[in-house]
Amino acid sequence: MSAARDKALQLLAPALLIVVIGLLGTTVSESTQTEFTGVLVNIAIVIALYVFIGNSGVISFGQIAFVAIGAFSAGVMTISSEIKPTLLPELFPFIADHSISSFESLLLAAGLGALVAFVAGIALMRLNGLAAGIATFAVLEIVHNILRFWEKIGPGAKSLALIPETTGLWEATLGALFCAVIAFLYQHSRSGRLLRASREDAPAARSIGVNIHLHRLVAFSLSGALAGLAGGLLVHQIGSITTEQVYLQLTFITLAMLVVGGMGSLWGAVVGGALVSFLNVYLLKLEAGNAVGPLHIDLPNGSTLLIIGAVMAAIVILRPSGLTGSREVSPRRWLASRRG
Amino acid sequence: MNWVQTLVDAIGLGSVYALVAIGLALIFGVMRLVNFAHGELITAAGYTLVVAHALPVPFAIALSVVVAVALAWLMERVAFRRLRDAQPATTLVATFAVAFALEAIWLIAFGARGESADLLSSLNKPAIQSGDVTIRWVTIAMLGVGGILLGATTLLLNRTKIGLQMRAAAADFRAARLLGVRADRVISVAFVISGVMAAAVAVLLTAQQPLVTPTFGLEITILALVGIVVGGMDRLTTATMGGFAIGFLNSLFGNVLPDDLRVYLPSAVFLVVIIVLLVRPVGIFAPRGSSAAERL
Amino acid sequence: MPEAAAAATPTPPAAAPPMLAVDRLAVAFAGVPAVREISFEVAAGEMVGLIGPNGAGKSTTLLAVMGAAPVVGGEIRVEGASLRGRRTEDIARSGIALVPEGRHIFAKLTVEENLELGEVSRANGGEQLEAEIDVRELFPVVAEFRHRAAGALSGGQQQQLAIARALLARPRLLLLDEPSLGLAPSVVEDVWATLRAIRERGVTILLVEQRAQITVQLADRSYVMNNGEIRAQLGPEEAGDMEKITTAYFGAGAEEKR
Repeated sequence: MSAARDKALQLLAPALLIVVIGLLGTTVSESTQTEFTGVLVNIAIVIALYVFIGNSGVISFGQIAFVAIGAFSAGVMTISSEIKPTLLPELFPFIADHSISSFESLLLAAGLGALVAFVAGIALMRLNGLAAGIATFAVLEIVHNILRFWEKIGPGAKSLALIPETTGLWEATLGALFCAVIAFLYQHSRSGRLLRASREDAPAARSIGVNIHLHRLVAFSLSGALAGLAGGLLVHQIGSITTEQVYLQLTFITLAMLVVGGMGSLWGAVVGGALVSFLNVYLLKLEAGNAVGPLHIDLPNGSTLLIIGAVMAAIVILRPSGLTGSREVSPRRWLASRRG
Repeated sequence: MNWVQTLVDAIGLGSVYALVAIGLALIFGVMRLVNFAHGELITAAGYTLVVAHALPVPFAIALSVVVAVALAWLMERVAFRRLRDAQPATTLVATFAVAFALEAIWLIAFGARGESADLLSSLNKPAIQSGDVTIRWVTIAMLGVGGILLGATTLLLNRTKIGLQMRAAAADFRAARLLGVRADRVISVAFVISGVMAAAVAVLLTAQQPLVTPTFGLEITILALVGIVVGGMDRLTTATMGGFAIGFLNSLFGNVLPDDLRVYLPSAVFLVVIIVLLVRPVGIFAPRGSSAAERL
Repeated sequence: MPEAAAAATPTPPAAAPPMLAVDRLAVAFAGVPAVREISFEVAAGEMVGLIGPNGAGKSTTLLAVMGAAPVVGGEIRVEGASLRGRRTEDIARSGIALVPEGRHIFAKLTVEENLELGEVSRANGGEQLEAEIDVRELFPVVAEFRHRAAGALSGGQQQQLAIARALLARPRLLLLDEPSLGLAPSVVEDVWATLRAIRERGVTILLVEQRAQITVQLADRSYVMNNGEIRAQLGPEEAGDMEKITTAYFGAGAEEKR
């Protein structure tokens, strides 16, 4: 009875946090609202990371590649087909001649993210530990390289602009919520549970016939889908995108969000995403010389990266399970610790 | 297209990459730590040369060595010591974070646009010129310094007591400790050597191209990392060969490939990495019959 | 209860402390106990055996002495000095050597280099055994294969190398973990002869072995461990008593296999 309630809480807590952020966003000024939207999109990205990294225990440096694919595909396909050929003259005709709605572009982004993740995953899911980290990093580099230079599918090194800015507070909240729900459903699905079991003890899992590679592939593809979706949300929020915006720095910062929050739980992903995103936003504001509430420190450029990097390093070294201990919200455990 | 010229330049660059590879491989050997932040040692040395550009050249170089070694020692003591028993993937994340944090420090201190460290640009002049072939002093320096440092490291590892202890620790850390090998000392020495290598790399790179930016050391480190993975991370020899090969091929293809293909070079390189990790994880230079230990 | 008190071993007279004193040692790996509060002593110059089935905690006990296992309770003292909390390499440098299970020689290094590593822990003076054991005399393989890679040696030769290497540290206490594992019977005999020779030169020996009978026969005293506890203590006179050994191994009521 209370186990079911605990389970419901596991989704409710992160979902509530997302909704609260969304609601708070309606109370602030319009420019701040944009920042809140950005935070929610980041949360969506981190949830996508978590779906693979948290459930499999394998660290991937490559998920932002799928965000990039989602962002660029959604961006390119939603630019009006009247101006597209002028902006991007090299495009393949079937890309240049068509354009789709923002909503459809999100579906496309998710689909492409899932597809590329699936293809990459077939090769990579055998790998563990360090090899997986390096191989997924290679995926990031390859996708970045191709997007940067292949002008038949995108803008190449130039910025892709004039994308409909359809991701507002509401859309971002829904998007993040959707990702949270999917992540929750996955981790309680048979595949998700088997994967988590193998995370704890791979040889034991294998010995009872769990096909670890298959379940990793499922998680990886799902993660790719959500990452692509988040990329679509991202590009429709900013209205433009460059390859550098979805490359090393975003990889670093979203990984930091996941690590700080706690790699092993959905709660950790959302908490980390929210905390580090807000920290990022406000530190950047201080860097730009703006006041943040009562604070009026003029931080030098780059301080944000330094602080977040230091925090991330500290957490990995001192408390690797993250702020949430990589655990979901559990009132039972909280009550037990009070009594004991 | 002058083949001799291209080859000589490629060997030169390969030597530089080999030095990076040694720094990375030594630390991986004794600690199973992939030091993503190694590039920041190179950048630190580079910025030291910028700051010290008014000093006589030998002093500036010595100073850059001191800075790189000090930073390496600091990294180990403050950040990495606690990671000794962590999983290699966790350490990769940690070193990644340290690298970004340090890069931010360069950004704050020196700005994004880059500073010039032109003390050694005189080396960019031709030393030997014969027909089409121009061998610059820089290239000779790269070969020379590379060779000397490689030789010195080999001597250290094979002929000294501490070198023997390092080799033992790399083979079986616990067995080494059971014999009284001091973990702290062996690891510190590895970091000191990697600092020296980093400084040498910075000196050689700035001689060729004096601009130092916050990402000065990062790109070469990423590629060298690719090289040691492809060559074979487990042994110093295969790792160094892998680093050399990557530098060599990078230079070669950079000069040989037509522009529209050359831009996709990174993709090709990283595709090779994935294939090697899947098909021959011990590395392509590893002797036949080598088994992939649990390292990766 | 008075009976329990009477059953405790009487404390020896206040003379020099024993070479090794283990007092209520407890070792646990992530909460799972491997050694449950065992106590025993080894006097200087003795050869003491630790026997028992797999997983009994024997190897863990040796590793705990070397500071290489997570000790959660109790004390380990060598000649009165506590070893708890000290680093493995420092313990190795204080005259205590372990020949680990599976030998762990460095296969890619030469025999010569392996031996050199043995001398690393000789660095600190004073606590080591004074008498020089001529390693070349005890171990002919050492001289013969000096420059070969250690991995090229046979199992028995590697075992000799491992013991020779440990001896070069001039230890006062030598720990061996299953030195006869995987070796042919004739080779095992050689190993045992070597151990006796070492013991004659004044080195205290604590060894873990699977082969119960020969250990009980040749050691001064043998402790039987099972499930992390010491179940029995056997002397050489009981070496022929298979029933007693079996009972000690598997607990009272174990069926004898004839």
